[in-house]
Amino acid sequence: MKNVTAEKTKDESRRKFLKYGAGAAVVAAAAAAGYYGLQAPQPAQVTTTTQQVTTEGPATVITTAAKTKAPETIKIGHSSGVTGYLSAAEQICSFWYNLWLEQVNAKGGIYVKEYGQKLPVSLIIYNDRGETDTAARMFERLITVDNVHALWGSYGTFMSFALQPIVNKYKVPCIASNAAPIVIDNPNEYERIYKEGDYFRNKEGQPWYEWNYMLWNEMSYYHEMEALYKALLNAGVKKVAIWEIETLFGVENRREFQHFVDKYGGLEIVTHKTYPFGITDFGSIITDAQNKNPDAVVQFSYPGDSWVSTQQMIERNYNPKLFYNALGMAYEEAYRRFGVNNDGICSHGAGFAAKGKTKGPYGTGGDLLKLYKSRYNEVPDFVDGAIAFATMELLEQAIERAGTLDRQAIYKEMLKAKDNPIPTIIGPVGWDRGPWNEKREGTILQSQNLASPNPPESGFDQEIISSANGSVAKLPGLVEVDLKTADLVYPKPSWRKQ
Amino acid sequence: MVDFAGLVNLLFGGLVIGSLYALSAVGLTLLYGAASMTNLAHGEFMMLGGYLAYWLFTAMGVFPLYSLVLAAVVVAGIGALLYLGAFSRIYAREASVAETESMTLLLTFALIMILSNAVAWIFTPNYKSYSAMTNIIEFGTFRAISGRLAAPAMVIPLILVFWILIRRTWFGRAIRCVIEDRDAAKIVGVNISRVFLSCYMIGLAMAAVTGVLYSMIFPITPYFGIEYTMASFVAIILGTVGSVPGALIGGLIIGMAESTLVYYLEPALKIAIIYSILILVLLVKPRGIFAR
Repeated sequence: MKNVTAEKTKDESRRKFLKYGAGAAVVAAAAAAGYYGLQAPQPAQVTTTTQQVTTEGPATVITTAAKTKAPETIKIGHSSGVTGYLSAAEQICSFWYNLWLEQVNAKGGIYVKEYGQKLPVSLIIYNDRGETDTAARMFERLITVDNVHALWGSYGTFMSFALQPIVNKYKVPCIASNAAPIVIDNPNEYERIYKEGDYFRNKEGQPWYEWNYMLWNEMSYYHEMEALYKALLNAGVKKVAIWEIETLFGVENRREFQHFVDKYGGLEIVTHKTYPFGITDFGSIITDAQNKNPDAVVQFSYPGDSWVSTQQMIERNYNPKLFYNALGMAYEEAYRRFGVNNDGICSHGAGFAAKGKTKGPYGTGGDLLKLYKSRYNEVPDFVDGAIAFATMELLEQAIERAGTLDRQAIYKEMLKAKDNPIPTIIGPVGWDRGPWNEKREGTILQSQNLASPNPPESGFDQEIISSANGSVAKLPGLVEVDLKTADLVYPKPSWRKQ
Repeated sequence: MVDFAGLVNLLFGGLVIGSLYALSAVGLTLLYGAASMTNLAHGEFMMLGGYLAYWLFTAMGVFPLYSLVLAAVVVAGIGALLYLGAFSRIYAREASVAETESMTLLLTFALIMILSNAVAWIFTPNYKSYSAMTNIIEFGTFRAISGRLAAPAMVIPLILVFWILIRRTWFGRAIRCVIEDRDAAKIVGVNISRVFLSCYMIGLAMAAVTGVLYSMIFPITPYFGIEYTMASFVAIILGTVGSVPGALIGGLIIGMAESTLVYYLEPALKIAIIYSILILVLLVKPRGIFAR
């Protein structure tokens, strides 16, 4: 017969053992988590070089003996969404800044006059997962622990604003790379600054260069939309449909475009539809446009929704005379999916065109396009990637011009770029009236000749059909250069059988 | 006002989206209704199906309609492994239904992260797309690419076949018994474990097939699944949990509403419309349209 009491006692002992054992395990786990949690985060990527440092410098400079010991590398810091919802965009940029790193280290690095030699470059990159608070902590670490010599910002307009207080606090120059410089959200205020010869100021009235260390590589979308507005007017467009993605990019572009329509006239917006990120059905939007019959459809889009709308327009054989589809069409996947139907579609030209006139230290847009294709065997993104590469070019030249790795000196050199712009593949860079790049033109691209007997290679079909830098509002102090490489094809070709 | 051609296009668009929601929802209702599996990663298995189709087409030229079968088999296999390796241990504890649902919810939440990050690592997070079945079929003024026609053309018969399987076979009867009363099913000799395993395999295979059909029409990323998971849950609640016709009708209602109502309101209100319909139905029929 079973001894029930003994069984009960054994059960109680077992339960006590499990209870205390589990408790001890939890405490040990918490202690381990705390210990490892307090350890410094490791960068997602530290790219260094094994290139030999040379004593060669620019041919016109007499090398002198180094006064101080040179660091092993020039450290440039970055935090971005390596994983998470911004990872697709960050990946696009990473192909380009790694391409730049290869190029710069292949020639020995950046010449720093203070040390009389070229120094190789290393990139220190942290993963902020697209989270502003994480990005802020990573930036503080880059500045105070990794002691980087310069920074470039996390992907996304909202990120730049989140990081601005950090770089201002530590007075470290940072380039906001893939971000819209929405420091002024009112285009009328933007125009006033130029017309009155004023500067962008803080609430205390201080001009921006006295307190702001975040400098935007991109120009205001004002000029991009100015170029679009000019293109539509010159083509004879009268009625426009606007399709706007519900992101800061969509809102900002639409606001700037609407400013030109409302203030300078010549166009009528017959319908304006907004749609959420990740939309899968444009049926109702296309039906609405078909009913309103605009001359032009202007879609402020992202890659993804830009393809959904294009596919469904082809399906419904809805072919407006002009179709501007902001982002995603000058893109490998778009060429693969739509082929010849890319022909005639206009897009955001913040990047470069293969036949463009702009040139940086590593060549023109066409040179870089060929290099990229040979390296990665696909057509690059024409916007974000090109901007990322240009950011690295401008950091490189700012450091070289400063002749030192002192952060303040590099920043001062950047401020001088207003009189001596820094050339990049997407155009010259310089900051004057505000922390946005005002030396570059806003440009609009159009895919052309894909249906010709000898179509150009993918990527080389993108022509600049409009450029602008202040001519519509006659803004003083801005230099407008005609960057057009071809005339707009209007009306766009019909859809073809896929 | 929309003209007749425009209305036909809106309704067709609703049918396409609705059929994708419906197939996904049928798989989910099987998992949730029969096996108490709160599969938060249902959309991720759909995403797996889409990427399999993308890879098979771009790397090996496999026509997407063949990928339907391949993706179903592969993801069913993954479902079997997951059940045998992990989820069966939850059921072995013989916890209450509520506890089982919460434990599976936590496990599948982890699966969301694992699957989406693994696919992002392999394929990159960028949008991917392939061009298959893009020839246009015309019926009078109505036009559609064949890939979009394939969605309702394949989904509705598939769901009907599955429903007949559920209604007319011993296996289907066993599933229905488990949905109605698991303990009673056990008493009458139903092998609960085998039913669960079958539900995992069939439910996830349906998600994969939905993903293949989706990839023929839309670009894919590793992160698109969560929206379909949420829409599938709405569909099965609308149509009554555990009901195959309910999941079909629920999915079609959401799809039609998304396509037609947004025309008269705003595309930006798409999510609000779906959840407003859910609230309205629950106020009138709290256990769903097909509740008895």
